[in-house]
Amino acid sequence: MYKNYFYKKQLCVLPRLLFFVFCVSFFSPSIAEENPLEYKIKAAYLYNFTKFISWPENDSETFNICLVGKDPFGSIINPIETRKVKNKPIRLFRLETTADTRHCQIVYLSSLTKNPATLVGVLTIASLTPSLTVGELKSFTQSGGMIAFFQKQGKVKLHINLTVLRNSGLDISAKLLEVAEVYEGESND
Amino acid sequence: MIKPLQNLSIQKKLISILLFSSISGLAIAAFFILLLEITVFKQNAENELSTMAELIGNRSTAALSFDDASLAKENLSSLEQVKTVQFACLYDKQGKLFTSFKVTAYQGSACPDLYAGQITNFKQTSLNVYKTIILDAEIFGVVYIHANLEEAFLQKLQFIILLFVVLLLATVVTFLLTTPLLRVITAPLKKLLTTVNNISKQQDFSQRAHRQSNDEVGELVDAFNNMVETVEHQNNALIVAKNHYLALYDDNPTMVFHLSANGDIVSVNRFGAKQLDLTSEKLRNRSIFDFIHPDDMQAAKMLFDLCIASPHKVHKQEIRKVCRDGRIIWVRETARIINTEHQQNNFLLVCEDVTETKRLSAKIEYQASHDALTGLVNRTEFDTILQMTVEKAKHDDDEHALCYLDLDQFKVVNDTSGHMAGDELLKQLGDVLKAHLRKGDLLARLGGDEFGVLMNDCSLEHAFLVCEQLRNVVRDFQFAWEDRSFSVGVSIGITSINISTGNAVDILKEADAACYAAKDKGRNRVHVFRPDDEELASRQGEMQWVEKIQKGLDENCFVLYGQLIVPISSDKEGLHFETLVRYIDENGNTIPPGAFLPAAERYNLATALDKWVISHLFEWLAKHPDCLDKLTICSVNLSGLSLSDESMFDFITKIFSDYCIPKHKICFEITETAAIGNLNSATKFIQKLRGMGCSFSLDDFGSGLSSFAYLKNLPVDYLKIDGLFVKDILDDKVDLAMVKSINEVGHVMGKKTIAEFVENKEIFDLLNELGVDYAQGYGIAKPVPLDELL
Repeated sequence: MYKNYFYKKQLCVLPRLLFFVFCVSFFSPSIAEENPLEYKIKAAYLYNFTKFISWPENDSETFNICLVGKDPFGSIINPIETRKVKNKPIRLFRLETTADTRHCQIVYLSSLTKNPATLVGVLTIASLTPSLTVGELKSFTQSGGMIAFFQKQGKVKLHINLTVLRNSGLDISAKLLEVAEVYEGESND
Repeated sequence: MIKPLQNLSIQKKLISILLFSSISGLAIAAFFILLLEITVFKQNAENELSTMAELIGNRSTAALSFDDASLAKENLSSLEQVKTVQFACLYDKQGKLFTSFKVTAYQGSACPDLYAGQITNFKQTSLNVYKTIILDAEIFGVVYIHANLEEAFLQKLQFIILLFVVLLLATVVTFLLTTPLLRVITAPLKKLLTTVNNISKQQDFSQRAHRQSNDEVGELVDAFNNMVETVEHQNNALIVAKNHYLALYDDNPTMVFHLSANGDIVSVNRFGAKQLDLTSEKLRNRSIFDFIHPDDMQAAKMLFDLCIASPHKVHKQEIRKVCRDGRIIWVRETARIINTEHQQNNFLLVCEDVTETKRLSAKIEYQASHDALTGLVNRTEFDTILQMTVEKAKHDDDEHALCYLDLDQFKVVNDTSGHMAGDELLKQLGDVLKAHLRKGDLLARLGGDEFGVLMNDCSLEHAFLVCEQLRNVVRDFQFAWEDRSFSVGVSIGITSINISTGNAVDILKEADAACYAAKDKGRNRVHVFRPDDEELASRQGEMQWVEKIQKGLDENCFVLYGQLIVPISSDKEGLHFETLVRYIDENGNTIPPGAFLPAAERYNLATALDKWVISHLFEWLAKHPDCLDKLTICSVNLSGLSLSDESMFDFITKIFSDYCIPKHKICFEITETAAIGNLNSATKFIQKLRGMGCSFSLDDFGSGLSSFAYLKNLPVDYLKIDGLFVKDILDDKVDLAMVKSINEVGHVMGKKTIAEFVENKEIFDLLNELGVDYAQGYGIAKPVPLDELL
């Protein structure tokens, strides 16, 4: 059921996403370098998610954060590797494709990645493994992503697709919901 | 705090204690209640706000994480419900203010900058709560709540004050109820105090306190009564003792002074004051030195110095004190220092009036050194002064003269007119002699009729002239006594005192010897002692005789001779002789008595010799009974000393009975001089022996100085006319007249006369013509040993 929804959604969202990625990549090829504060915040938020979201137990020795596609953070995000999540050191993986995202607890998909296949891959992986998919813009969540960053009054805000999140097996704190805009997507069930 | 309390009455003390304990209890309770309330209140407030901060912090973690200030502010706004909170702030993990909240009423500035290490604290009435927000061991930020507890505090305080007021009221009510009960304790004490005051005011120890209760106060009353009883007893005893000692002190016959260090009188006993003719009160604070004789001031001050110098000793001295009325008294002062707690170097001075003792001792001293009769210096004093003069002469090379005066015929006055006359004569002569001496010369009475004169700085020649003058004065002096007039002479011996003379005893002996020589030469003359003096040499010879006589008596070196006495008238009678004594010296020479009798007389051996003669005579008579049968009378000489010897009479009576000699056949011969020298004792002696049947003859009558007056008093049987008259009777008319008159007077008085020195027939015939009864002499018979008499 989830898979069906995922694919359906993927098909609907994909042309808009591709368009968006195209536009962004066209006007601003390196976002992090142009707006380092924003990505600093986003990097911090990536880490902060670990406080409010619970992953199911696994035997991985590291907490893996995977940046799929183009990397908008650059070196800004690197210090995150000094931190730990539940005593597991954070590992940062920069992946070209979604093929290796199976072991990622957080999968971040930059809006620079214009390849719709990647988005589909990400959403697919996320539906198969308990991974938190984080992307840019509300469209990401509307497309089936779990959390999306978006700008509101100059601030980075969260947009959460609660349905997807709940279905993925991750446990989300109510406190996180308080600070985010919650999108109740339609269920595939 | 306790000191001012001590002076309060017991009631006030008890009230004070009650008050103090109530107030302090109240205060302590209030203090702790306050402390406890505030602590608890603060704790509660802090806990409450801390919990809220915790909650808010927890709720705000996501807001902080994802920069949602509005959500955070919403969270903070929940504090509005808490009245005390004025504002609250939320800081992010960098310490920057994230969001804040404040009540509308609060006007002040909120949310100060956050510093590291800030913790929850109370600042006066405000409470600042800091709470760090931690999630998964990670700091998210800090919640700061500022609350103002002033109002809450005030409410708390009001409650406590109310509580305290209630407690205070309760205490006051309790106190007011309790106070009257204190009288239970204080009333008996007050009563006891009144009694005590009465006793001490009235000095009446017979009063007693009344016991009202059976508690400690009751026991105190009993104890007090017992004590007062003891005090009453002791007080009475003390008064008795005090009076006793006061009497001892005041009536003590010594002056007792208590003196201050500078001699002011602190106290004096009544007797002492009376002695000084003042009262004790008037003497107080006067100086003791006001009453000390000026001459003794130095000594008196010295005594005090001595006392200070050796404070443990008692010091004594005798000084004079001047009384107020001018009397001077001698006192023996005894002083010692007394140091009491309050007074240093005070003196205790005890003075004993020794005026009488002093007077007596002066008198005794005077009497010891002066002759009571004449007032002249006596022998002892004279010896002392002489000794000093002799010692002085040895150093100073001065020449002085010592004169020894012996009155002639003094005994005549004494014996004929009595001792009163003799004493008066000595007194007058003393004055006369003194009047003719220089001022510095010392006249002393050395014995019965002997005087001594010590002439200072006087040559022998000058002394001789003075003595001649004295002799003339004495000779010219007429002593009148009861219608009779006496004149006496004086024999004077002079010796010089100079650097070469011997000691005082020797010098006195020399002067005595010279005087004796003067007497020997015929009296009433002056003889100067010279070391080579012949006359004196013979005197020196006498000394050798003393030893010989003593030896002779022990070893019977004496022999008895007899010289016949015959009646001049033709009437025959039996054997009649005078017993004489001779000394046989070591060479067998017979020594006549003239050689040793003077020595025997002078050195007290005459009596012993007399006894020897009498005992040997009686022994001889007893051994020759035929001779005793033929014997009419046998005379034996007695010296003057024997007449006054008390043992002599007993000796004679004993020896009469020992040898059974008929008493009427013994006649004792005494010399006129010896008899007159001791007229009283001689008369008694004669009367006693005559009463037993013995007879007496008076030897050498006429040669002495006697007058016939003596003869009346001497109860003798025979008069022996001095041979000096008899031997020249043929040629000298005076002697003839003398013999004739003595014979006549003798006969008139009923005495038989014996003429001595009858050397030839012519004298014998003439004596016969004159009517003399007996004759004795070489013309009749020479003295022969007794055995040859037969």
